[in-house]
This record gives sequence, C-alpha cells and structure tokens, in this order.
Amino acid sequence: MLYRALANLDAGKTQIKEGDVFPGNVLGDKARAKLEQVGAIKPCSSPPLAALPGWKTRAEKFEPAGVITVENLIDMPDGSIAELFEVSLDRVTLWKRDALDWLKAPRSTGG
Amino acid sequence: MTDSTTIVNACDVSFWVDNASGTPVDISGTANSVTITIEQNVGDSRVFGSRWPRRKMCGHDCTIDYTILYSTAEDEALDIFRDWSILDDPGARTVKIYIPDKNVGSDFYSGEFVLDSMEIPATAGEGKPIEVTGSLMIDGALALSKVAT
Repeated sequence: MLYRALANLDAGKTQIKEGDVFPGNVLGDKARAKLEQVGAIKPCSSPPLAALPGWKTRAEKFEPAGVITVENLIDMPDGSIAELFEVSLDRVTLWKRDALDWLKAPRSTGG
Repeated sequence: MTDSTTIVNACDVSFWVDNASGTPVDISGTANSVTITIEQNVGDSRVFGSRWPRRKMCGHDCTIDYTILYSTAEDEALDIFRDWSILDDPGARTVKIYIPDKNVGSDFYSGEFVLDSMEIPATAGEGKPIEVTGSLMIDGALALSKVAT
C-alpha cells in the first residue's frame, strides 16, 4: 500500500518530506500503525499509470503484466520489470521514482 | 470541540546535542528544561485615516533556552556545553529535541545552533543541585518532523 506523509518523517537514514508518497514497507509495521494513529501518514489512493503525464505508452505495455496502478508498479519486483522491458535496474528505479513523484503534493513556498 | 486525547507533558522529553567530535549525545539525564522560542520578524506600518496597523512578516528566528544540572562526569550536559563555550572557534552544533519522547509519532525539532550563553550560579547554603542556564541560537532553518522509527 502507498502512503502519503502528512508531516516530515525522520526514519533514521530515510527522511520523508511532507507531501511525499512512499511504499508502506519503508516503515516497520508498528511505526506505520503509530504514525497513522497520530495522523502523520495516510493511505494514498493509487491512480492508473495511464493517467500520469508521459506514461500512456508505457502503461499499455505494463497492462498485460497486471500492472495497472502506481501501487501495482511499486509492488512489482525491480528484476521482473527489468526483464519484462529489457531495461536496466537503474531505469526501473527511475520509473518508480517518477511515478511516485507525480503523486507528491506541491509544497507551499510561503507568502 | 471535544477534549483532545493527544495532550502531552514533558516528563520524557529527549534532548540531544553533538559533542566536540560531532557525535550526538543524549543529555536528557542531566537536563530538565528546554524552551524552544520561534519568532517571526514582523514589521508594521500605518497610514493616514486608518487607526489600525498593517503588518508584514519576513524571516524566522529560533532560540532554545536550556537548564542543565551541574555534574562532574565527562560527556554529560555540563561537560559538553562548557567545552563548547570556551573553544576559540565554537561553531554550530546539531541540537535535537524530541517531544513528548523519542518514540514513533513524537515531534522532533532539530537544527544547527550556536551557543549564545551559559550561566553557572553558585550560592552558599543552597542545597539544591546547581542549575546551569543559557541559550542557543539557530544557525539555519529549524526542522520539524515526526519520529518514524
């Protein structure tokens, strides 16, 4: 499941900014439950890949593999995606980051 | 509005300061008060015909007023702050404060701070442990986040 950070999160070596969307397995189960309880994170609905700007063609190629939504993409092992598309693992990492970045809430710059 | 269920006290606040080697040290055991003051730089103006000011804001500042207890062991609060205060080039250090504690979901305030002052009182006849007070001033931005591990 994907989550949206409603506050900046300090997870030791991992820093998650408010508004970022991230896979739930980045945090431990207990931490996830506690942060959801205090309102610091919330499950995030996952749009279809085809709805992301610049992803229409790639989404059509993912569809036969059962990867329809951003969450499906994030859950699919990197190795499987690399094999399916005959691309490098680095490329897969970039795709996943790009998909999550499109779900980020824009940050206020003050005023 | 219904009563809040998330009101906290400061019993288990966790206070960390980098020592001279840049290693974060938990000084909670010899500290008993921190006051984080966040200010805005506010300017006001008035115009003819209006009885009320208009205000503009630009810029933030943050100070931490601390109270630590005088102890004689190395790498406890006094030792760290005292060494910091007498260095020729003290520099800024990372200060971290966790409220209400260091558990997941707690608020975490952190930033680079310079040591502005330290006062060590010594009063004859006073039985209470010596409380050393002073203040830190921020060098850069104050970061606020939630503890997630």
